[in-house]
Amino acid sequence: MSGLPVPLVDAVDLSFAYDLDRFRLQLPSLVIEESETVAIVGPSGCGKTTLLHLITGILQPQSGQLQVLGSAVSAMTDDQARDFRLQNIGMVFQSFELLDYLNVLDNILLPVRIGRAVSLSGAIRKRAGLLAEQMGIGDKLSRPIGRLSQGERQRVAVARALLLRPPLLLADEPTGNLDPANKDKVLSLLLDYAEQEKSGLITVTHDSTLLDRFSRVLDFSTLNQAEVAA
Amino acid sequence: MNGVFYLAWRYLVWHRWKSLTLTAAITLVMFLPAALQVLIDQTALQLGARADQTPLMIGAKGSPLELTLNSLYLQSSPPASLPYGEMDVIRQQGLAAPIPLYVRFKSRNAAIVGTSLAYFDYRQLSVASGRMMAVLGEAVIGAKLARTRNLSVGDYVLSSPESAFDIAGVYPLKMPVVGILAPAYSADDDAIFVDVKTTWVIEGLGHGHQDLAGPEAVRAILKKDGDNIVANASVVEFNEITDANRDSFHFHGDNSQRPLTAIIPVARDDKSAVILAGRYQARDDDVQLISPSRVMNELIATIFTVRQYVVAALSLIAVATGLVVVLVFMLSLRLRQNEMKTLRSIGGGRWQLAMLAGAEIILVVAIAVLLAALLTWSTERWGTPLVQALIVS
Repeated sequence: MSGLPVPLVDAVDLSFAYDLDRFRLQLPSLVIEESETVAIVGPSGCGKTTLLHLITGILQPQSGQLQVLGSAVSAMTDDQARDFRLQNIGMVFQSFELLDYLNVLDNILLPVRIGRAVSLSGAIRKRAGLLAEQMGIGDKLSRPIGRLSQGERQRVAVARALLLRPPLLLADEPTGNLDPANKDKVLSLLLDYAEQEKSGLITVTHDSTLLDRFSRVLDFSTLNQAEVAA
Repeated sequence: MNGVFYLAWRYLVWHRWKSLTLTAAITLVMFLPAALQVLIDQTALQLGARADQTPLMIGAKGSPLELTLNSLYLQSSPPASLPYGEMDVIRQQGLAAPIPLYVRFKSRNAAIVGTSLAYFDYRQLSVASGRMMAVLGEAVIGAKLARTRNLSVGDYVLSSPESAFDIAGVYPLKMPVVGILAPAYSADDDAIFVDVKTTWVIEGLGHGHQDLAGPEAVRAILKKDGDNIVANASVVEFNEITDANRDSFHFHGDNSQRPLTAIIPVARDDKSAVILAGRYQARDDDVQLISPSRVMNELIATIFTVRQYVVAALSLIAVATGLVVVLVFMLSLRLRQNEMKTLRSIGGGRWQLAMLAGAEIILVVAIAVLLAALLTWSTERWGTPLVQALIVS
């Protein structure tokens, strides 16, 4: 390591297509610097979620280079991408994606249970409990997901994303299903974490009222050259 | 617990009814053929053991199976009778000691076995309380019968009429219980043993009545010709043999013509048994000598043939169940595509996800195997009394 700050995301000539070329993503260049909090906006289907999947390594670009936290995600094998994801990226989904057959604690611990790279230790259990306390759901650890409110569910999803102190947080419309009060709470949780842990935060959102809370806003309809050409 | 196994376990617990149904189906598919095998083996063992204990059996010509079931297992309708005189025929040959059996009457559902004391030595039956029968009219009963009817020494058993509508038929005889046998875990546990002459009294071939020479019987006498006295129906007949009236009991006619259902010839040795069998084979009258173990082996072979058909049918059911289980898991995985996508997004690899699905199947099958093994073991452990109860009762 040179000691110079490593960008969160550094994409060059990134190209991805699926569904017989009906959808194309083309990014000549995108750099997101360390500790930036970025909101990605744009119409539905312009490729915002696809970009998040490329950053996590779930999808692989057809061409171009993509470095995340200094690692060439675009050149990783499936196993390498999985371990990288587990250790470096926290994901928050719009529909929470919690497992109804697990209680609150097990949902927060899910990345450790399903991943191989990190083993379930007492320290991790303690952190899960601490996160739940911070999120105001500390007294509901053994409660089934089905008995939580929408706001509580979203907080479980955030706690799960923060469990392994990821240097990069990705959130796909994290406030899409929430009322204004919960929207504000969840976004504050994510931004506070990013600030405290000096982590990066990339959020896909349609909610224009939240944009001024991010350090940078990217309009993906202008970034994706394939969309522009169309 | 390993991560994927923990998640699989939580999933199965959450969807408990689906999991229980799958587990029960797989358990039954494994348990039923195993239980069938165990029960048939134990049945064969039970049936065969008593038959093996009795190498030869003599009875009237007819169904060997009926003769065996009646004489060995004290059930089924009585076979045709053979004369008591056959006992002397066997004795005179000097090849075997005969044990008489007359298994025709019942006391409710329990068989009344008319025999001699030699039967108890032959079957190695010992008295647990009381004593062996000594005189006419006394009964010794099996352990299970004593328990189920709550009978003890000093109580009575009553023979049942063969037909409730035949008023001229067999009258009930009240018999005191003088001994209770130790459990033998065989048909003997449910039987009532009396001297063979007592069964003839039950049949009406012997009887006791008031003294016709006494003054109280004068009005009943129709004709007197020396010692021969003819009386009318008002003469009091005894339906219980007591010390006071025992001497009045007597038999009319030729003793050698009285009936038996079977004779167990206890051969002196193997050679005597073979000679005896040969002699009976050569005889051209109404008596036959059978080998109960051969008869039972034929019956068991029939049971085994039936088992093969049942096992074949169960195998087909097993295949069908297996396919349904696979279908259920496949449909479940299809419904859980979103969940799999999420698990992949947060760090689950393809291998882990495949393991998760596999772990659910492994857990269900493992629990089913354990349950099936436990049930099969229980069947093996407690199936014997069940088989004994089914066969004996």
